[in-house]
Amino acid sequence: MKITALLKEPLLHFLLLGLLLFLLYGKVAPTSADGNRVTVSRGVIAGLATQFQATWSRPPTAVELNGLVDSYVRDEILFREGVALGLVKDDPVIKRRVRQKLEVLIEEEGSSRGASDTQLTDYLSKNAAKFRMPPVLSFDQVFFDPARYGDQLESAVTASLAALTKGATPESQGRGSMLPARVDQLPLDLVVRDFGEEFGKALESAPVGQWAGPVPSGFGLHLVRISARKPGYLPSLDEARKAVTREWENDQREAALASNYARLRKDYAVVIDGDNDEAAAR
Amino acid sequence: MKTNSLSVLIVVTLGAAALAACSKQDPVVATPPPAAPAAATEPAATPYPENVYWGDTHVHTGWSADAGLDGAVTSPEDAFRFARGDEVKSNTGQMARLKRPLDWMVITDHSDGMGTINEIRAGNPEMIAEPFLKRMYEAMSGTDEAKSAAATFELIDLQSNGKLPKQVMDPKWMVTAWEKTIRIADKYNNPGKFSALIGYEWTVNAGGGDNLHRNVIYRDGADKAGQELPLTTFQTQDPEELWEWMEKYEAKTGGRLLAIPHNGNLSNGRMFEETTFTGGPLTKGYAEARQKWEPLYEVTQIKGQSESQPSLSPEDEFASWDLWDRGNLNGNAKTPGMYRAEYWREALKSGLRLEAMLGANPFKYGANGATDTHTGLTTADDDNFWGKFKTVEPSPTRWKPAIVGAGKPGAMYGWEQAAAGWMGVWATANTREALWDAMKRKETYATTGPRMKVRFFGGFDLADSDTPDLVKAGYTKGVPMGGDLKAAPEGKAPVFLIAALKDPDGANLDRVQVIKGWLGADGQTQEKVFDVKWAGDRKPDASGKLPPVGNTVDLKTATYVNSIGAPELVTSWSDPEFDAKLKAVYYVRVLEIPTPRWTAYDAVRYKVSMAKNVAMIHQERAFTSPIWYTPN
Repeated sequence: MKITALLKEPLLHFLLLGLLLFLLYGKVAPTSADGNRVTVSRGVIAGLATQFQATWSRPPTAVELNGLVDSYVRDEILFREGVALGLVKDDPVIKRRVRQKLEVLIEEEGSSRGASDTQLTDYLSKNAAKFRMPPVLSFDQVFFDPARYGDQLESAVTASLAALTKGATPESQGRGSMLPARVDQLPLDLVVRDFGEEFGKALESAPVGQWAGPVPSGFGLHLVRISARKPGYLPSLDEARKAVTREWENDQREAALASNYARLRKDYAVVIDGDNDEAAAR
Repeated sequence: MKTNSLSVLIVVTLGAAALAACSKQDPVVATPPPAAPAAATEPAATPYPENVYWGDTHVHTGWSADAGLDGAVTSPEDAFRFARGDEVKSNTGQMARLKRPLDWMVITDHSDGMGTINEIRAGNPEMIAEPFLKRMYEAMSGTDEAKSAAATFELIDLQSNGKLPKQVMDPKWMVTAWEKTIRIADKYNNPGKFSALIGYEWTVNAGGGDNLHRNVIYRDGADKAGQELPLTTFQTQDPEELWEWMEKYEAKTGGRLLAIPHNGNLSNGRMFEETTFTGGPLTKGYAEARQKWEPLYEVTQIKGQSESQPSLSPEDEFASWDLWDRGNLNGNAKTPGMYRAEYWREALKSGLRLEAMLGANPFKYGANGATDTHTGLTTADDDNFWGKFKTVEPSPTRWKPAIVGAGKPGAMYGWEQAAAGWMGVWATANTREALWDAMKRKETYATTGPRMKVRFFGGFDLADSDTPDLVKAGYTKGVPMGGDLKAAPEGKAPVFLIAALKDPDGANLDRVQVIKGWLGADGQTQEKVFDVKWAGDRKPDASGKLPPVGNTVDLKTATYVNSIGAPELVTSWSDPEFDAKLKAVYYVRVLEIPTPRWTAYDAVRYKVSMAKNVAMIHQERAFTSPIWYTPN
């Protein structure tokens, strides 16, 4: 809202009048014993000093501490006044912050219950796909860059395959590139990361111990000789404990948030006074 | 009760800072440091960096106040899970997943507004009703260090025997946002597969939105990071005080930190200003500190690039891309002359001039790319772009609204978001330590999203015959990106070995360029862009300009084909204009062939037609950290 529009807002006039009355009342009426008191306890001061120390690795000087206390008092007074004016209501930042704090409390309460080995083993077998270790591959590859070979690509690949099968060294074939000529014990997901999906898939079933191809990739064509392929497997709990615990805890966390909200939600009658479909874009 | 013990120890440490060990670190030199001590689970480190690891140094979750305000609800857990390849529910309830996982990520929620009051420190009555806690509170609030230390040991003893008072064990008093953030990072850190680094953003918006933000990146785990609270801008807005804070952290914990500034393009002339924050003259000490603590600069991200600006680089035909150059973060308009102190390339040049004056280069920045997403979802792929905020997550209308500075001269609109960027790190292993070390020595490059592999080495003993095995030659006879070359041997010019390999699932490459900046004998800085290798049989014209690579983009389907360009470009290059007496800086830019921009994918996906001025096609790119040449 523009400032000028705000100045014309009757609600603002009403609020300002209210504030004026409130201030007048404050002058005229006897001061309440506690309502307008800001107590800066030893605990608060110590808290401010510790916070400072935690950031700067030294205690605050007297001047700095005075500044912190002044700022604390100012926060306190302006916050209370703001709250009294109803400024907290419907403030999305405050709402979000308080919601987050509550959710953190709920999560933390959920996470303090450790899992037993039986629970974790059960979780591991029920979510096997999450924890399966990928196959591990060792292979040689010769790369043919279509941009360099042009029309000669297919014949070059065929000739190289024949030469390699007869015992030519991989170094003598192709024209070298940034792609590694030899890959030693790389899990399949990292093969995919470096060579792309298509190539990784082909290597899952390519023969072991002989030159094969051409295998296509996002780069061009490859001749490949797999020297070893260790199959994928489901690890034991001991091997995968950190991962299983982490995933289990995350499930607990999400479940705690969901069930807590469901419980709270039951205590509320929610009236949706409007038409969702009407308000939606389409 | 593992989750609580850490928090308890943090409280303990806060109360007894006097106990902290002191071990000061030396500034790092540009050679790979020895590998970190190997734990049983540590992946093996290679002798020199053989792999490039992809990640994002700049991710906000719903825990950042501004992200939360906009309706983001993603947690740090969600952010890490998304980056490692899991499907995650986005802030608008849509399911989101990266096509390919990242190798590492840093969560950098804003330090301002983090954390809640620690109740023991504040003397909460419920806590200090317990006699031991009352004693501890008194010890912590007093000045008697011996008493404080005694309380600390008592607490550690109780904690290790599982006998802590139940008030302490109750998590609701113990957790602050920072403690929780670093604990989550530890939990998701999986060396060899996915490194979860600890970080935060120190978000200075000086004088009403002049962007001087810095991300602080830790090499350490929660055990060290938890010993100090992050610095907030409530405490200071002066970068020199941030560096001072970083130095204290390192001295106290034995940990390591670096900071990465970003969005100079929105700083209204302040990011690379040639005075201190408070207006004083730059000094050698300032330059050394800035160089030490800030090895990298974020060159590209969703809120535009800070690499180059057409008016600063009028000869560069590729300088006009992803520009957010109309105002600052609040949309306040710029005045003439501001650009000069906002862009990386210009800063690299100014740095040479300042080094000649001060004796040290304050702007010795390597290249970093990151997203600065506020959705918890790091995305830099144009066909899978989740936007800057919740309100610009995928939808038919997200291209339209102003997302920064609405109603002001510098307003920026939804379609102007850049689906960028990420950083490639040449490291010896995918671990926090190896990645951080590589960032510190600037062995990094920025991209607008594609994961192309880029190598860049320089040296006086390198030769064209080294290109077939350029990695080995580069490391043994030269320096990698981020390195320094000193005094040229008589009559010799440096030779650079350069290689670029396309993203395995992306577009072919158009060309590789070297961008040179230097300080002339007249004290003026200059720049020049050299095409050093390109796809196809194109020939430069009479003026030396290389014809465009072509364009295969079909906007009706938002597709392209790799029928032009090359998958790999490898070359050696020697500067034909090299002058051994002049300071110079060189970096590599790699350009892809034209591809659809995220707006083009949206237009097809949602069957919408966007305004005529909305960019639909672009050439994605990579920028390496420079190699500097400094004569004696």
